[in-house]
This record gives sequence, structure tokens and C-alpha cells, in this order.
Amino acid sequence: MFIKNHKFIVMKVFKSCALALISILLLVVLNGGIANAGPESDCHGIDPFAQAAVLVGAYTSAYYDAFFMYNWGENNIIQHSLPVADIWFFSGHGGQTWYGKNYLVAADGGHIMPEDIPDLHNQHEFPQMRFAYACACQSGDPDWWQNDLPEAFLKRGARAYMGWADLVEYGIAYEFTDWFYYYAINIGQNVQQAKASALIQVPEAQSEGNIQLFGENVNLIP
Amino acid sequence: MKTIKLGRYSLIVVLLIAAVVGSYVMADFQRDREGDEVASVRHTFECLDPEMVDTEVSKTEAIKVIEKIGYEPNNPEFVLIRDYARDKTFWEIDWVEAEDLLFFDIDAFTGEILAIFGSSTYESKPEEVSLENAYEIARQKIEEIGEFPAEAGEPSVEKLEEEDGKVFYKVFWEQKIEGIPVVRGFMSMTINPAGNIRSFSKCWQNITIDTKPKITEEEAIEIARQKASLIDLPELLRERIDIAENIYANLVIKKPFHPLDENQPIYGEYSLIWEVIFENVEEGLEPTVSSVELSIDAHSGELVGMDFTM
Repeated sequence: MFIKNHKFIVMKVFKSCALALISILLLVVLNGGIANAGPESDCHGIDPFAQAAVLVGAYTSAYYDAFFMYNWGENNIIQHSLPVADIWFFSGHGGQTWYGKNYLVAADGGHIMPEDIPDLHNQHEFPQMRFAYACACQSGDPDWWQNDLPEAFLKRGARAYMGWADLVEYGIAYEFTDWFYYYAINIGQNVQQAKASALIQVPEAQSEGNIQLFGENVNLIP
Repeated sequence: MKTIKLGRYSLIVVLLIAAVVGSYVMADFQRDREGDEVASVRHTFECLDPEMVDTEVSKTEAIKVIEKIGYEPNNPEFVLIRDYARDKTFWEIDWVEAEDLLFFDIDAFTGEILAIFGSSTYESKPEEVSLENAYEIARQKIEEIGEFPAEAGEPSVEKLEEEDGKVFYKVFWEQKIEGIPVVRGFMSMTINPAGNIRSFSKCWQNITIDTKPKITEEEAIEIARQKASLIDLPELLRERIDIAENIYANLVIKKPFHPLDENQPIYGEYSLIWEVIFENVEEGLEPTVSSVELSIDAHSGELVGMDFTM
């Protein structure tokens, strides 16, 4: 009797496990990409900067699970994008306070200040954020006397950061960004080479927007 | 037995419900993450299939252009590129030499050298170049590798000092046609102190255009004001126009830029344009000037493009 019951219990446990396994498989199939999640890139654009986010997403999707986020508010960017993106791209307005501290402007008008940048370690796939590019006016203007966006990104864990030191027109920034990711992703150049190559095609990115690169010379191909 | 069967079915039902609910939650999450996706990717250039394009200059001929000026490409890679911003189709040819990446852009129809990058390892001796003679040396180098445009005016000369202490001299010519600046028309050469080319980039447009505007600056500004109220602009850009402190116009030759209209090509055709600028100044330690530019065709008075500071 004991043996019979024991067998019965084992059979029940086995069948339940099989059912659970089937259900989990079903869940995974229904949820598609979750099982295949790879390195992640977050591409932000606020209206009318969405085109630039799509452009960057098209390049990064070759190696990353690219997420496009348009018109996201300040809190969502800080809480749900920056802490998980392996490579991160923002296209939108940027500015400086009267004392020269730079910030990014989210779609809800909220300012993403240097002190708002969260911990960028333990990203989606890598131990720390590999590359952040804030394509906005004055996003790449460091001041020695205060914490600005370039320092904030590097201190919080990004291995490399790129931004515009001066005011920049969207047309120049868009064209430079197109060439930069072409060289970095399609040709496989490291970020320093890709920046230099893109500047050959769009020299105004230096003379008018003063594009700046900080941190390590990383490669964007994972 | 009935209890056991009921338990088994309950488990199946619970797991199925979990699977369905889970899939809805994840789909919702994906929707949140993706937001309102823009329909199409708009590149400023395109890589072409060489088999599908009849170029005047073949890969072999492009390599000969490079060899003629003393370079020896080793296992070069070729990409055929159509650049919409510059109206050029060129071979981009790159190879690695002594750990340096070198690339050349050769016009696929004229064979002209459009760009050189990373030509040699850094040399600071002998110090042949200074701010005073950089222009002459750069001009001589350009004449050695191609044609120096007769109408090129006075360049700007700049000494660049990189973080690693390397020094370069950059000479930059802006293209003008009958005194009117050509936007994206330029020639730029950077040389090291020993007088060797570090980089070269040429975007000199061979265009014929009527440089006499049919509308005045004042008319262009008035048209821009009227058109601005009719087009669908994001709130922030509209606000910049509405409260603009300075409004003025510059006469330029350019390809109009269409960042907001997906139904148009990203760039228009070279035209004589009044760039009407609506400008605001923000005070601070470093005053910043934000602007919206509306491009008004100087012959037809049509609004043909726009741009803005980010």
C-alpha cells in the first residue's frame, strides 16, 4: 500500500511538473522575445526628435534589442530607461542653468539634471552602461568646478559618453549621428574612430556644435 | 480520485490563466517601451549595391587615384555611398596600415578625391608648419591631390592641440557663389607640424544658380511669419517663434532640410534661400541663443524647409 501510494505520488508530481513545464513554455512562446533578450539599447526622442531615435534604433538593432521611446517624461527616463540600457541615446532639447550646469529636457518639460543620473552599473546585459549619447544642445559641456552631464554619466558607471558642448542645429546633429553610428556599428570602428570619421563627413559638427567624447574608447559591437 | 482530478484540472487552468495574463502584461510593457513608433528610417546617405549602379569610376580606377598620390592600399574594403546632403556618390575605400585606419572617398563619377583620413603616423619634426604658412602648405597639398577651386576665398586657419599633446593645423575654406555662402560647401585640410596630411575633406558644389533674389529680406520675414502660423509645429518651436526677440534673414544657397515632413525627401534641391531666423537669448554665465530657422525660397517665396537649435 505504501509503495503503491508512493508511486502514485511520484506519478502525480511528475505529471504536475510536466504540466507546469508546458505552461511555462507556452508563456515563453506567447511572450516572444523575452526568451531571446540580448543587450539593450534605449533610443529616446521627443517630438520632433523621434526621427533621430528611429535612425539610431535602426543601427543598434543589428546587435541590440533596440527600444524606441518617444515623448517620455523625466521620471520614466530616469527610473525605467537609464538603469537598464546597455547603450543609451537621447535626442531632444538641452540647456544650461544660469550658472552653467547642463541638463536634458524630457517630453513633459522636466529637466534631467546631472545629479538625477542613476547608478549605471548592472545594466541589462553588461556590468555597466557601455555608451551614452545625449544628442542635445550643451549636453557635452563639462565645467571643472561642478558636476555636469559628462562627469555624471562617467561617475555613475557609463564607460563612454558623447554630447554637444555648444548649441547645435538639428540638421547638423542628425547628419553627424547618422554617420557616427554607420562607422561605429556597420563598419565596426571604436567610438573615437567613428567620431573622427563622422567629422570628416560633417566638419560642422566640430566647428558649430563642438561634439565631445568622454571616457573609454569602447566598441559598440557587443 | 475525483478530488485529485479536480486538483489537476485546477492546476492546468491556473497555469493557463497565468500564461495568458502574463502575455498580456508583457505585451502591454512592450507597447509602453516602444511608444509611438515613427514609420520609416530616414538616412542622410545610403550604401549602394555596386552591381546595380553604373559608375564612371570603377574600384580599380579608384585605387589608381589613391596610388597616384603615393599611397599603397593593402587589402582595401570598398563601399559605394550616395550622400544626399552633399549630392555626391563616392567609393569609400579603407584599409589598416601600421595600426592606423586609413580611408579615402573617391567620387564615383569624376574620380576626384573627396576625403582622406588618418593618412600617417603623427610627425612633429621637422617643424615646417606655423599659423602663418599653414594656408600655403595646405593649398599646395590640395593642388598635388586634385584641383584647387579658383573661386576659393580666404580660409580660416586654426591650431588644434589634442589631449595627448599632438598639434595640428586646420585650414578651412567656405564656398561662396557671388558672395553668397553655400551651406555644406567647404574644403578642409588638417596637417601635422611636419606638413603631412592628417585629413582632407572637400564638398565644393559645381552648381549654377540665379543669385538675384526676387523677394526682399523684409518680404521673406513677413512670409515666414505668416507661414509659421499655418504649419504644424511642436509647441516649443512655436513658442520660440511667437516670443522671438530677434528676427532677421540670411541669404544662402542650400539644400532645404525637411526634418518634420516624412513625405518629403530629407533634403530638397540646391536653391537660393532666405533663412529667416527667429532667435531668443537666455541670460546666464554663458548666454545661450536658441532659434528656429524657416527656409523661404528667394525666387518663389515658398516655405521650403526648416531647422532649429536643439
